[in-house]
Formats: sequence, C-alpha cells, structure tokens
Amino acid sequence: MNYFSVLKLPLLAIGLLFSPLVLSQLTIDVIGGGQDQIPITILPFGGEKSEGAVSRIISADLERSGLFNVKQVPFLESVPTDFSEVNFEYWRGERAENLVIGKLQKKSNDKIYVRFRLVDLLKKTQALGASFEFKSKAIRRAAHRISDLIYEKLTGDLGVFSTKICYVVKKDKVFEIQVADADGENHQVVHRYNEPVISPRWSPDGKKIAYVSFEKQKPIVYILNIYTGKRQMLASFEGSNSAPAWAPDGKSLAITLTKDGFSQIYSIKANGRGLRQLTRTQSIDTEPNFSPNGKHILFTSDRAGGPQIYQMRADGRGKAKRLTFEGRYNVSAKYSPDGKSFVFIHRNNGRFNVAIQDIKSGIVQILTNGSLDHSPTFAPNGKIVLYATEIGKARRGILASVSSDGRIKRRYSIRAGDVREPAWGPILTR
Amino acid sequence: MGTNIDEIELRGSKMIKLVIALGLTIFFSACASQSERESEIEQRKIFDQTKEEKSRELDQQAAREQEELARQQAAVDAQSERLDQESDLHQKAETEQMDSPEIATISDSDVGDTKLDVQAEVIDTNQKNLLAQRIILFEYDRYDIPQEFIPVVEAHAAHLLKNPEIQIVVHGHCDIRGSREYNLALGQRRAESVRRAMRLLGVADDQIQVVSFGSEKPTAHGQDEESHRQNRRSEIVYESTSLP
Repeated sequence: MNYFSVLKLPLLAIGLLFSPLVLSQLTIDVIGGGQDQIPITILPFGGEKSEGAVSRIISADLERSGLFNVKQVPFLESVPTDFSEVNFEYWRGERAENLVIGKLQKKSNDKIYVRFRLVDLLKKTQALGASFEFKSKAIRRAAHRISDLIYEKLTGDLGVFSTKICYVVKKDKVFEIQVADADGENHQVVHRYNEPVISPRWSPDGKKIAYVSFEKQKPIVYILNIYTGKRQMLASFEGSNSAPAWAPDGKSLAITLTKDGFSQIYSIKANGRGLRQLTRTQSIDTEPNFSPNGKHILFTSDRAGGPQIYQMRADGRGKAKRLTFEGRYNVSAKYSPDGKSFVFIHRNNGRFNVAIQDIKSGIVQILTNGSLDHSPTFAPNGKIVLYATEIGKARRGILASVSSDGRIKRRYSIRAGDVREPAWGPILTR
Repeated sequence: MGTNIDEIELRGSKMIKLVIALGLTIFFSACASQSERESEIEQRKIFDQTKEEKSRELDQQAAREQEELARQQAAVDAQSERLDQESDLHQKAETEQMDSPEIATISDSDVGDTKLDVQAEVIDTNQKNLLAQRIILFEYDRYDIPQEFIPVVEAHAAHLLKNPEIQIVVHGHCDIRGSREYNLALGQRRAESVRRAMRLLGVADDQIQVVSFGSEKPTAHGQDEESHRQNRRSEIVYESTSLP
C-alpha cells in the first residue's frame, strides 16, 4: 500500500479504509492530511536488500505523522549514499526539497552499521547526519530512531516513533494487555486472563505498567514490570481499587479507592505503603492524572451533579477548582506534556468525543466525531492524541489518533479482537 | 476529504439505524411472546394452587351438611376469581410501578376463615416472585433505586432478616458508554444504594458485600437504549447453596 497515494487521493483513501486488506496486526491508515506538509524524498539505503526495511520504515513513520509529503523512490540500480554523490541538478528537476540517503553495512553476524544523511536540496547542504550500530533484530528500532532525528530536525518537535504504546485487547472472553511500537507494529502480550482489565498506565521510566484487573472478582491495582515479568499488588483494599496514575517522579501513584464508602482519590507509594487520602467528599472522585510538574492533579468528580473535570493540588490541600463547564458529562482528563491544556471525553448530543481544553483561557475544541470515543492519551511530544473508538455494525473497538490541533486523523486497525484503553508510553533516554 | 468521510459515516449511520430498527422489532416481538408465555405459565401456576386449595377445602368440609358445603363452594369460587385478578395485579406490580398495598384489600375481605390460608399462600407466592427477581435497573447516570424496584429490595431484605446466616454480594454495573473508570465508580454507587437500603431495613452489615464491575460485564450487547437500560443494573447475588 502506497501511503503517498492515500494522501493524494481522498477517494482512494476511503476505499482503502473499508477494504479488507490484510496488513500487519495493527496498522495505521491516515484519514485526513494536514496542510503545508513538508516534502521529503527518501531513497533506498545502500546495502538494503531483503532488509530494505530501514528506508521503508522511515517513509512510513514520516508519512503517518501526517506532517510530511513523502516520496519514496523505488529500488534503483545505483543510489547516492553520501552527500558528495548527490546530483543537485537532477533533484531540482524533481522539485524535491529534502532528501534522505543512507547506507547499511553488516558488521558481524548480528550487528549492522547504519549511516544516514538528511540533505537540504535548496541550500545544497547536509542538514543532519548520523551513524550508529544496532543488533540486526533491532532493525525497526534503528529505523524509528532515524525517523525521530529527521522529524526533530524538520519540525522542531520531539519525535515519538521510538516510543511504545499499550492497550487492552478483548478476544472473546480473554483480555490481554499488549505493548507495541508507536506505529502499532511488533506487539507483545504482557498480561492475559479471562477477566477484564482496564486502565493500563505507563510508569515514567517506561519499565512498568500499573493496571486494574478483575481477576479476583473485584477491581485490584497491580504494577507489572514488563521487562522482568515481575508483578506486584499495589492496592487491594476493601471495595474497589482502580484508576492508577503515576506521579512524574515514579515514586508514588494516585489511585481511587472505595474503602471508606465513596470513590475517593488517595496517594500511595509505588511499594504499596504510605496511603494518604487526597479528596474528602461524599461524591464520586476518580480518574486522577498528575500535571507534568507533579504539582497538580486533574480528576473527575460528580460533586456538582454530573461528572466534570476538576483540578486540585497534588497534596489534596485547598479547594478543588472546576475546569469544565460545557455539557453535563466530561470525564477522563489527561494533561498535555507541557501542562498547558488537557484532553478529555466530552458528551456532545449523545456522542462521546475527545476534546481539548486550554487551561488558562478555558477554550474547548472538540477533536473527534465518533459516537463512542474513549480514553484519550497524549503522545509524549503533545502533538498527537491516541484514543479508543468503535467502528462497524459490530461496534468493534479500535484505536485512532488525532493531532492535538484536530487536523490530522488516523486509524489503527487490529484484525482480531476488540481494542480499547490505550496509553502512550514515555520517551526513553537514548 | 472531510465531506467524503462524513458521507461515508452518514451512510454508515443510516445502515446502523436500519439494523437497530430491525433488531428492535425482533427484540420487542420476542419480548412480547416471551412475556405472554410467562404470564400463561404464571396463571396456570396460580390456577393449580387454587385447585389444590379448593380440593383441600372440599376434604375438610366433607363431613358438613350439603348446604354448608355448597355455600363454601360458592365462597371458594368467588375467592378463586379474586385470585385470578390478584395474580394479574402481582404481575403488574413487577412490571409497572405498582406497590404491594393491593394485597391488603383482600385481607380486609369477609369471605371467611378458610381463605386466610389461601391468603398466606398468595403473599408467599408474591414474596417468591420478588425474590426471584434479583436485578434492579437504574436510570442513566443515576444510582438511586427507582420506585418500581423498591419492593424487590424490600423482599430480599426481609429474606435476609429472616435468615441471618445468609450472605449476599450486590454487583453494580453500568452501560458501556463513557469512561470505564467513572462507570466503575458509578457501579459501586449502584451496589451501595442497594446495600444502604437493605441496612435501613435492618439487615446486618456483614450479610451484604458490594462489588462494582463498571461497564466490564454487560448482559446486553446492543447499542440501543434498551440494551443500555438492561446493563445499568445492580444484581443481588446469593451463593448457589443459599438461593431463596
């Protein structure tokens, strides 16, 4: 499938969305393109054969971001692999502006060396260049890393192609938590059981996932280390235990407990000790989410009747401030990485949609138009919001994303099962 | 590009509406025949009971004079007629917002001593019917027990009071719309409402536990309002060994 034509030909794009193409397990279809896309031409890398994956993965990454107009040149007999080999006259004729070239070299049985260059064809300069070694089985990760570097150079924002997402898949009566690359590829199951799981949340170091499992016939919060497989019960108090939210330092979490009767927000250390009550009301207070600086918590409360979004100090002191006033149902708030806005689910004429609100001005923008959109989660660069929605007559759950300005919409499609409850992982130090 | 997607979605929603309409038609016709069948069975049950009562009475009266017997017979016939009406009323009480007071009009009747036994039997049947009902449905985003389900809660509370060794778990559920976490809290509230009502009726704390499943365990899987209504519920769960 050529993503270039998808962007160029809207009708074809729609046709593709509904065609039963069997791609990889979780793929992304771009359904709306942004304006002012950055033109970029990506040549096959020297030394690419069957593992020609690198240049193709870079093309796909940039294409899916919606910010680039990507031209991938099919396999050529001879391609430039270094700056000195670039024929500027030829590329001017092609009206290309940015060119990506590179070379792969096998170092040993399991090591590959890659070198790439981003060439500014208008200025006739090398805008970016890097080289590194990687394990041959980590070829996707290497390509995503190059995509991140190119994205950062040309957009000025952090690239999130190397990050991971997790989500819940329901297959008949079995519930799984899967971890996948941000593009939906390379998924792995980290939890599987025939009782529901909800609310998976990444620890700030990207090593652990806190989640709520009903495996003991009641909601209990667990923390799973996805690299060691070690699991710890975080909260199993009387009543319901749910809604884990990591503090940015990773040392404590906010959770919702009903041990004293009502659903109230507590803070608890990551080792399960030091429980402290943060809200004290006779209403529902739940879905806590820490501000990036750790000073505040957004949460959902029905203290004014229907559920609305409130903000309080992270230590629970002082009076909580109501932030949402439009509509009678606003839930599931998450701060943007810069802490200036938040996304949430807003009920709008019977539809449940992702909306974004600027905290200072209070201005709300509705970003999606599904009928049942759930669980919005920001990419760590704040540019994309991943969420769950439903498609088709069977109302199958799928993941979709929308740029935080609402201009670029994408759909992830998974072939088997019902996908929900996505959470976007952090950018890991490289 | 946006308009194209809108068109597709519009076409999709028309199709969905058509499917929902079809589904509703099938569902309602199925419901109608189901409730007809149920009321038939119910009436037959009551009728059988009445017959039993009648023959028992006839045995008791065997030694009495022919005239007395005939008088009793007439009284029982009248009673049986009332019972039929009564059973109708009970069914209404379950489906509509009818309260139990209807039973009182019969206790006030002057049909005679023998009928008191019949009377007790009827109340028992009613109690059993209510105890057989273990689901309380809630309004959207609400957790107060609707009037029509209060007799169900009262019947279970009475049963628990009578049997202090029995324990129950009240499950709280929501429809699948909206936030799963908020729904978990809402389901907890729905289960708590039932617990609180039963406590007020005198049931001991340790007899009732509550647990919320939020929107994770829907019983109806449609997207129509009726499915949503069926999913917004509290379930009173007895251990299989202590089922009323």
